[in-house]
Amino acid sequence: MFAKLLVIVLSLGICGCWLLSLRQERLAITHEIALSHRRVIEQERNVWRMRAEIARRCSPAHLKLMRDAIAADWSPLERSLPTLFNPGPNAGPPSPTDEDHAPW
Amino acid sequence: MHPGDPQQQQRIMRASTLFIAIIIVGLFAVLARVASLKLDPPARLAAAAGSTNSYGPALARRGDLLDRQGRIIATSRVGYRLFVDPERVDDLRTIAVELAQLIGGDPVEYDKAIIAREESRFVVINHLLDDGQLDAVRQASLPGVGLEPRLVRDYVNESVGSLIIGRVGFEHSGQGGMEQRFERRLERADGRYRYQRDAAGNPLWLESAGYEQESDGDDVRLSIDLVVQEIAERVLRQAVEHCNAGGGRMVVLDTNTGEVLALCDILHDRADLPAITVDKDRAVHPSLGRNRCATDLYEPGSTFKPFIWSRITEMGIYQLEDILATPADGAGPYRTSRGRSIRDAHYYGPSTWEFVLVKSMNSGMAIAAEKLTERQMQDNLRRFGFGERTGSGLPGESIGMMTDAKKWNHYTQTSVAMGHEIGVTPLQMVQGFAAFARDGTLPDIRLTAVDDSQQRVSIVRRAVTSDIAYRTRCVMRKVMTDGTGRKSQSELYQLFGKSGTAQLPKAEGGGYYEYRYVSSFIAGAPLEQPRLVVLCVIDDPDRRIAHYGGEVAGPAVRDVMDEALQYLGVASDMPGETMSHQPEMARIATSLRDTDAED
Repeated sequence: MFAKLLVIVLSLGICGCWLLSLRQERLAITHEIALSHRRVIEQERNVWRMRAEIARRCSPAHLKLMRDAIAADWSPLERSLPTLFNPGPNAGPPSPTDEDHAPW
Repeated sequence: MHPGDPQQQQRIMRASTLFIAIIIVGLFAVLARVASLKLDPPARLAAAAGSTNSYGPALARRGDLLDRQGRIIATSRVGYRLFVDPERVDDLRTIAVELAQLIGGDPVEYDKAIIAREESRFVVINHLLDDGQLDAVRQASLPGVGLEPRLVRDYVNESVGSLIIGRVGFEHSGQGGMEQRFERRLERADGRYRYQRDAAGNPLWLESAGYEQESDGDDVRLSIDLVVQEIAERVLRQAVEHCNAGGGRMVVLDTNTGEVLALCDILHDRADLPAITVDKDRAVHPSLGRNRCATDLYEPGSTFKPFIWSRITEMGIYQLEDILATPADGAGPYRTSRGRSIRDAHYYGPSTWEFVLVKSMNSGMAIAAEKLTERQMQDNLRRFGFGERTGSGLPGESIGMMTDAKKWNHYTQTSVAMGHEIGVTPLQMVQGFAAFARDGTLPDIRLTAVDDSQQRVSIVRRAVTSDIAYRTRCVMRKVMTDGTGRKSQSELYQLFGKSGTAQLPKAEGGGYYEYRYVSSFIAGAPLEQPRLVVLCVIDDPDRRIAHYGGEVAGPAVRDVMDEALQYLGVASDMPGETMSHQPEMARIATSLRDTDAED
């Protein structure tokens, strides 16, 4: 009988320890989750900060300043373009005016 | 001892029962203690237990304001406020000096602030730390010195359009401008979470029951284009300063969509001339003032004539070639049927109906206005949207000012035909004028960008027929080439427009100033497929420099039109003209997009 009781008590004790360890594990995990939550919040706030910084550095006014600071030669971009009334040499059939001035 | 001895077995049973009873009693005692600690803890323990249970704010982000290209105009981020808890500080005598070493500033001021609120547990030292200060405070980790997160609104392009954008107040809610206009979409709801922490204050775990989810605000993409806004503000400022005016307003409207691309309002302090208006809020901060493009009226003067002219043409009262009996040079001012004297800047003698608008002849407009009934004139104004809000939703938008139908008389009839005795907002003017640049219909004025995915059903309101709209446009083109807009001609685009110069009404009432004016110019371009309408109103230009709308406001409209259309990649419609690099870039971008789409 005593042996049976001992077994029961020991079993209960082991079960208790196992439950306690499970609880401790759970607490450790929830603690880790809490820390992760904090890290997520911190990262999110960093993203907000970087978003603002990127926006500031990409604003038209800032880009203009940067462009001026580079002092590069932008002339290739400033060449003339064919337009509605000035379609360029290969844009279509020659107009009567062109034919009038043709060497032939 | 015999194993089957009943006495022996009884003793074992008693011992076992006692043992079990002790264990059970012990367990119940533990349970009772736990219950007691939970339900009615001693004061000393309760204080400790309470302090380990904390709430943390879950800050939600206010929505961003974006321009129509998606560039950020206003965005929110988290900043940190530095505070001191005097109760937890190691040495109150040295903390101010330590803080000054970390974040700079005057230690005497810090010391004063701490001593003044020594009983408090929250003494703010700095409302917003910069990055360097924040790092220094975090590294120092002084006891009793804390950081409180708070939302900060960053205005990325502070110099551009601050008046339109507005600001947020202490509670991070909109105070004026777009921040206020779109408050419902931008606003956020902070959440909070409860967590257990240890004696050192470190979080142990979050309590699932105490968690309230935060809710971020939505981003709003505005119709404003930062580049066009910058162009408009720069040109308008130059125009205002050039003629030493009291202020200026400018609106740039996309005629196809009704999107407002730029909205500028400048007040200019002059040493030798009085201010045109008082805006106390703007004196507090430039972004808090009222937006006069929506709130303040002005008399449009001759820029109003096309609205009357087009309707009379549409009704067939006069055709373009019809001759009106306008007075010749030397014949003096025209007298209406009721004897009212109507003056012109120049007297050309009998003129065609087309010539009346090209030369902005008051006499011709008065003759035609007398052919309309009062009711017809009033209906015509409403057709173009005058006397009602444009629907922009800007705070304090005015409906304009029209003489009441009961008080409408012959004098009003002829005055309105010349753009007098009527008050309009710049937004109303561009909305009405856009009818000429479209197919005769009024656009919905939009402050948010048009989203292709939106299936919006808009009720189109027709002001004039498309044919009359086009004809009016062509006559206004002649205003630019042969009329009062000659000084405002563009070398790149065929503008059509109208100038106006009206006397400035006295703020206190009782008539007009004799030599103070409101000069304006409104134009659209290109002629065949208009893309933009630009209005410039110059308030009270210095008459010693210039004061006619065509001289003062016209060049500003032309400059904005040229730059903005090039930026938008609109091809020049002037024979022989070429484009600069910006449309080239736009074309390349378009071709790249097309290539991507094909891929």
